[in-house]
Amino acid sequence: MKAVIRQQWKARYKTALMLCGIISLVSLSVVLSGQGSRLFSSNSSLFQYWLSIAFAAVYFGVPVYTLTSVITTIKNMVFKDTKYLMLTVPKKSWKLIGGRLLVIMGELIAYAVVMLFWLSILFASESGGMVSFENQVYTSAAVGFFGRLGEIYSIVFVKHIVETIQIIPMALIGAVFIMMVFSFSLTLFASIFRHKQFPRVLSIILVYIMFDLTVRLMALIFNGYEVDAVSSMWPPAAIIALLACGLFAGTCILFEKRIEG
Amino acid sequence: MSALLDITNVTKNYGLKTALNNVTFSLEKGRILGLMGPNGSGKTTLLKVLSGVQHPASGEVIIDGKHVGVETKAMVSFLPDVNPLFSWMKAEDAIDFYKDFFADFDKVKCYELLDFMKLNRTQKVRSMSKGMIEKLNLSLVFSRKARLFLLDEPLGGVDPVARERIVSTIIKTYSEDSSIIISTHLVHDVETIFDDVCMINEGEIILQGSAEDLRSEHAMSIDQLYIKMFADKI
Amino acid sequence: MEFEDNVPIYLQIVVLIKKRIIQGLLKPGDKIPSVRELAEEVKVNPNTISRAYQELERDKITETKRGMGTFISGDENMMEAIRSEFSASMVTRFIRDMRETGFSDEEILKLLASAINTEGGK
Repeated sequence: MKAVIRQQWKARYKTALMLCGIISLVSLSVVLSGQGSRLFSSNSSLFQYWLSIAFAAVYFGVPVYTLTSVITTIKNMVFKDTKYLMLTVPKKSWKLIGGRLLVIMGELIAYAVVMLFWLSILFASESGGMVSFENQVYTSAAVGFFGRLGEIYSIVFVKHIVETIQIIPMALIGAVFIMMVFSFSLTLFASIFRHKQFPRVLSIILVYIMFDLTVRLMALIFNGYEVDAVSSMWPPAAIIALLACGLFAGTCILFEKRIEG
Repeated sequence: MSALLDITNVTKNYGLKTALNNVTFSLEKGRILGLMGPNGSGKTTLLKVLSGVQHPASGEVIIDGKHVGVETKAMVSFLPDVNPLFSWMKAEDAIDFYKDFFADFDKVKCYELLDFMKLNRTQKVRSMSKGMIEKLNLSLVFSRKARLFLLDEPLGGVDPVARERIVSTIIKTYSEDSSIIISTHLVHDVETIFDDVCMINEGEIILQGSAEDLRSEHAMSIDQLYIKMFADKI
Repeated sequence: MEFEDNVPIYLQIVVLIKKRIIQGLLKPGDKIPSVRELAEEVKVNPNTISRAYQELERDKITETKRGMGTFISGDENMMEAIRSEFSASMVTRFIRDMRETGFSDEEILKLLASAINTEGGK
């Protein structure tokens, strides 16, 4: 397993570093241009407008790109010429997929840390100190950039440490679940239509169906369920985690039995 | 004593097309087998089944007493006719990959082979010519102490000098404990290195036997025999 | 090395070794190249080389000394026998070819004598 992780990491770390750099660059530009929350306001200059677009693109695009990179993994194992390497390696496919997932998770955590760091800088650099957190409108009594920065970190890591500690694993569960939906859908597709490439449209439809079914299932189970605090989100999170495990198992079983290069 | 490789009634279909039809043969250890046939005859499919890349629809493949799976993959070294390496890799990344995944991989031997083939270990695969990639993959495959080597058209697309080096490497790698299956069109260049020969057409074996016996029996080279066997079939 | 099409390879290897012996490249008592060495040199399957070597051993052209390797036998008669074998087959073939092309025996002898003179002696 160590070998799998090491090799997958080797394949990804340069991209990961580059993306972290890009996130930092764009974020720093936004901070320095002094826009803060006025990202898309009507009195921005053209430069500020494009900067806002870049910011949104990066902050939305990087996570989406990473979550869907499991598609590349399956492509490399089943459809591209690299399949001759990946399918002749004396390792069970669940280890190959699992290892890749762990590396992707690592990437996501890295990006999340970088993004959250810059977001904290962004909020702290706002003049006026109007920071909105959940339903509380919080007027900062702290003075100056570092004062506000300290305030933000104390809110997250001290005052609401209990919630923070719970949100992190929930976010991870959510990310894993999304990746598992993708990998299972594509593996299912590859095992039925064995010798064709993915037609994009069909795979997108399949993924959509899976998410739709999940949402319906959750609505069914948690009908009338009150979500009033972070801790009350555990039951749904647990169900999602279970589903994710099931999908992972399904993916691996399909790989063992049906998938071939 | 059972053979190193036993294939029994292996059939493989791609949809309606039959790629392999009831193929049966065995290979003893310490033998070099030439697998010959026109394009689409099933040579590549057969090698894919032996290496575990594909599963047969029916039939059995036993390598060193084991069914094809993780255990056989550890002792089978496959050189496909395309480049299986990731494009981000340099030669030394590929070596690192093999070292990580194949316990029988000999890093020192690989570096020696790279030198013999005149390849630069820090060069990116992306920037290599077809011939260089072929030589790199051959070096990687042969640096494993595998029981069974499968080479799919190892000589296609390389110049005569490279071909010489490849044939030399094949002979150098030969050992009494392992066997090599080479699928090729270029029969004339390499027929002298085959112990056994197997000619396949449309998924079926039409001729097999020891190369020397076939030469005596038919009083011609294997190359000429191939032409004779396939003259009316291609 | 180029191989003939309709003679088994292993026999051609036997001929190769014999040729080297009478050319003086391999002298009685010399160690013959290992199976692998010769295989690499002439690009032939090691099993085929082995078979050729077995043949040479059987004909007593080579002898294997336990723990030391395989050597060209020191038998003088063996050398002579090979020389005769080669010369006989070459001469026979030459005469047959010449006769087939229509030359008479007197012409063959005359042509041979003058050709040797012009070719220069050893």
